[in-house]
Amino acid sequence: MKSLRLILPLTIALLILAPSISRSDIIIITHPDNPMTNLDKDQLKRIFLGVKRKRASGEKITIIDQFKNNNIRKEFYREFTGKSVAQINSRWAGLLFSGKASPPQQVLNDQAVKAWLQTHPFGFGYIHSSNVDPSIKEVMKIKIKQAPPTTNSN
Amino acid sequence: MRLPLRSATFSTFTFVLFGLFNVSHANPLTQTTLSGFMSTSVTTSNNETPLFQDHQITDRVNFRADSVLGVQIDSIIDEKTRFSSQLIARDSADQFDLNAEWLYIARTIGSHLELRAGRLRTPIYLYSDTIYVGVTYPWVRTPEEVYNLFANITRYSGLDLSYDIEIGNTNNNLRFFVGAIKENIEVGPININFESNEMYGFEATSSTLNNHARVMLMQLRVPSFIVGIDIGKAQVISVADRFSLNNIELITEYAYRRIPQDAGSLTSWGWYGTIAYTKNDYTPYITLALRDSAKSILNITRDANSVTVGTKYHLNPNVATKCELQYVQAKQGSQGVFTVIPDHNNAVLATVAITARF
Repeated sequence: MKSLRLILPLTIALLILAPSISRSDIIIITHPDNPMTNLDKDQLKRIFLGVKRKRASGEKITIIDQFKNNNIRKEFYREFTGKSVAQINSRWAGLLFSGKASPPQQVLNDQAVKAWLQTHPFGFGYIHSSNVDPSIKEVMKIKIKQAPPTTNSN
Repeated sequence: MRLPLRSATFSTFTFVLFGLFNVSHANPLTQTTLSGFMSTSVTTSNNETPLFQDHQITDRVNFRADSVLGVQIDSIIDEKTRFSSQLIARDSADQFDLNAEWLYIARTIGSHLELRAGRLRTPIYLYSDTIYVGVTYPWVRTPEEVYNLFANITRYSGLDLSYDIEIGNTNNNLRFFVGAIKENIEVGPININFESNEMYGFEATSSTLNNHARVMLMQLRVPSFIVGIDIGKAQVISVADRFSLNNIELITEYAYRRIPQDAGSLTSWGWYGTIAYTKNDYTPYITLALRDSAKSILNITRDANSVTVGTKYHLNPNVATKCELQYVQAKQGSQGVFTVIPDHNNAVLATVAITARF
């Protein structure tokens, strides 16, 4: 009976907190030494949509994507670019099959994004805010407002 | 490279390529990637005269008119050099034709220049580069009134030099191209060996977050494939814009083809405008298109107009179905988008297609 008294409030607390955990904010991150720190939202959108692929001085900008089945990928593109994953894939297909650019490499999770950035000074990626640490530099915070849709999850 | 493939060979080709796909991914050190795309459809019209030179759609149910399978191999040779090849298998009469649509080597020069040499896509229209990649545009097939203006010639052998620069929030690219075209093309019931060793032009694009504008100018010496007519040099101009605002996308393109006065018959222009709206996985669209020409000395013009309504629906992010209804009308006495002058000058086409990339 005693344990039931403890479990019940804990369960209620978890149920209340669960939605806010699943809607953790997303942070756009880069290599700590990347000099491109004053990018505005428009410039970052152009980078993640494959429009801007080089710095003004000519160095290649690379991005790293999260694995196709990760919810963060869907949330990030929906909230940040206003586009669905299908629309994003169509854009990259246009760039790939016209010989202009290759779609970004995908990695399994936030840890892999951070590891990849260590070797890509002009690289950009995105991770959950809870996984930000000093090994990377924060560029922009994306607030997640809506619950993720349930269809076409990959 | 043009190889006829029977259906069994086509299957073998597909099997081998998928095998190659697995091999290239098994060894990450090769820096070679393999990707591909496919489309197929079921389509019919209510007119017995075949529609669209490259598709031959009649009043019979056709499962092969839009079938295409493409595979692209990209290899990074070193930091500045890459190689790319794209093989396309398409339905043609009773067999599949396999073609190397492009096969080139590219070299980056400095920070903003890239030189490519080999077999390349003729960059005439907005969707020339991805004309066989259905997932990159809303329609089942690109609007014939514009995309048939230059006899569906999609590739050339030669080189191009592109220069890209960012100005403010605009990414700009200027590409010069020069080369030769050698194609066996069908004009109505006639097969023509089209060969031009003098083809050059430039393409300029300007892209912002919501807008992509493009202009292209090309000149080429047209072969004298009709005895007794000196055709001389032809010019092709195309202007296009793709604009998106929230869920709405507008696409418009105008193309003009001019051939000297003594063959003035062949001067023609085409236009289309599309409005598409994306809501969840659906993208319904409507397209108006038209084609007009100068008076023909051969009395064969392709003057026409059409209205297309349809929707693209994404089954998943890499696979989409498209349902489309199209009304086409050839101007009286004109061939329009039919392959010969039709008895009845209009038709309604219904198509259900599936398109994917992998």
